[in-house]
Amino acid sequence: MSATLPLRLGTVAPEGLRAQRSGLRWLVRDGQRVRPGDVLGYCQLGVLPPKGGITASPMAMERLDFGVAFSAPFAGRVRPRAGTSRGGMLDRLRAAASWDPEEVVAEIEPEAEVPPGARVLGLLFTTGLRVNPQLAMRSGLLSGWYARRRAWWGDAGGEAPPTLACLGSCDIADAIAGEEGDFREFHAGIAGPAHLVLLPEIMPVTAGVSALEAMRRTPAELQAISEGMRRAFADGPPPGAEDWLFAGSLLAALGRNPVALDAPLLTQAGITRVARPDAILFSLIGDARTVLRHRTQGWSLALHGYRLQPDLIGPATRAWLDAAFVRETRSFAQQAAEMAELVAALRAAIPGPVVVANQATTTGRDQLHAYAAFDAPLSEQVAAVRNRDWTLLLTELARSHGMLVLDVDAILAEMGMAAHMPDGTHPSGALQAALRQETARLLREAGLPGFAPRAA
Amino acid sequence: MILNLTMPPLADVEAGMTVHALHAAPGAPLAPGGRLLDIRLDLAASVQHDCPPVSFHRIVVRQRVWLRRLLVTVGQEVPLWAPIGLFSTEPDEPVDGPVAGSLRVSVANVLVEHDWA
Repeated sequence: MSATLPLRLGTVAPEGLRAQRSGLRWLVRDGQRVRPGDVLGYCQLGVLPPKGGITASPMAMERLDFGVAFSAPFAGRVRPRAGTSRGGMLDRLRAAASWDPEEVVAEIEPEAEVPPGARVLGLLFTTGLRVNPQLAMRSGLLSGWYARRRAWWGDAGGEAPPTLACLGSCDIADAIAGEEGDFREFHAGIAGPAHLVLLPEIMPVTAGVSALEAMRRTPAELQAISEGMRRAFADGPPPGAEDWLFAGSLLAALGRNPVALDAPLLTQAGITRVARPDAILFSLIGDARTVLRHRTQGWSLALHGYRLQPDLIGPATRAWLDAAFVRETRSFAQQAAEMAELVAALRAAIPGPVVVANQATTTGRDQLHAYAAFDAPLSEQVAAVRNRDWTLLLTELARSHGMLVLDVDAILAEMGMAAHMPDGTHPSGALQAALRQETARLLREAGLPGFAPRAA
Repeated sequence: MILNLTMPPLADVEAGMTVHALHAAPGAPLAPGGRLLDIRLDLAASVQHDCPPVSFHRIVVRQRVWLRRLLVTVGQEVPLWAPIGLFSTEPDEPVDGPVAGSLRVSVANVLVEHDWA
């Protein structure tokens, strides 16, 4: 075994920016054995120009939850230094200390010879754009409620690394963001550099007609929606806190264009901006068969039904939904046409691959032996047939539109649906890991740099 | 020959099973593949998802029979193994005789008009 080596923080802010941090929150015990890439701890981070207050942060609104996770540069037994964690609010607020790149915050007993210069912690930047800037929750890294969350390695060079944006739904969101929601597993598995972005479901579903309309919605249309809600709230039952929160969250969601990121990115060369993703991943489960269609404005509100449970929305919202919308269930043909339109629009808007996750082609409970009991077309009646039609459609779109299929169905067949996605929607950790690996493979084979497997 | 049908297990956990639609009336002949009724399956009692795990399932007969007596109505909750109906293999044989066995059925997860109410 080699001698104990110091681990330094390393550089987070290039020349021209000053950095501050919170106390460190360690995730490892003293003497714990770690592998390269394992996250050891994290802190909140602030970067500012030499002059100017907090609003001058180049991270803009994403300054509020800007953080950095430390990863092990090589395998060994790690020992955090005493005093680096101060507890309480000092470990949550970024003004606790200045960032000193030379500060030694831990020691490590490496398991093998370590090349010179490898004694700096890996720095994984994480940040999120809050659904509402007032909603603060700093109990952990990326522990708030975000319209988008993202992570990238701090040692990226001057150019922005390739960006994958995932339109989150239950089956794929945490496959990309990982068990703790900070992307550490995905980043630990790829060579990088890469910039991973999750656009989670704020309220409406994230794919299908929701995504298509979000890409095309103009500021004037969003304003008209807002004005319509305001009038409905003025004319209906007095709105309460839950109604205003619903309205604000919905507007945040409706105004989010998945291909217009305009996201500041801190690299060793300074701040760059990512205008749009290079690749997009979404899932069929992020589409909705039944939507609410606005009677006069025509836009669709595609929500999971559970969001409309009586105890989850306020009376003013209920009155608005009842009066302003009509429930509409789309045929498979309608959904298929929208899917083709969405894929074409995304292909035109971004330079890299569009990846669509399919879903299980069995419901797991069918004992069907004949189709005589169902009217044609079967895709309107039999859930499993509709799922298979979706799989066929995606295969055709892959040929005609050059998109890629994340074949959840095939992976589930190999791993076992009962164990890894018993309800057809929510995956196990092992399945999430498999979906991560398959996503990286698809992107790599499509020529997107940064997604090669990390060397052992 | 008289056959009976009881509520088959549609899930491997405790579930609420409610008659959503009836597709046959007493006296109706049913051929193999004939639709009998749709069941609304609600797993909320045992699976505490935020999104209520509700699905719909069609029970389809697998042999030629006549529906003689229907023991459930639309909206009725039917416990597991509770009686649904009596069937005969001849159109006019007495239905009060001994039950010779269970009706063979198959079940499929079906889509209803709207995914949620």
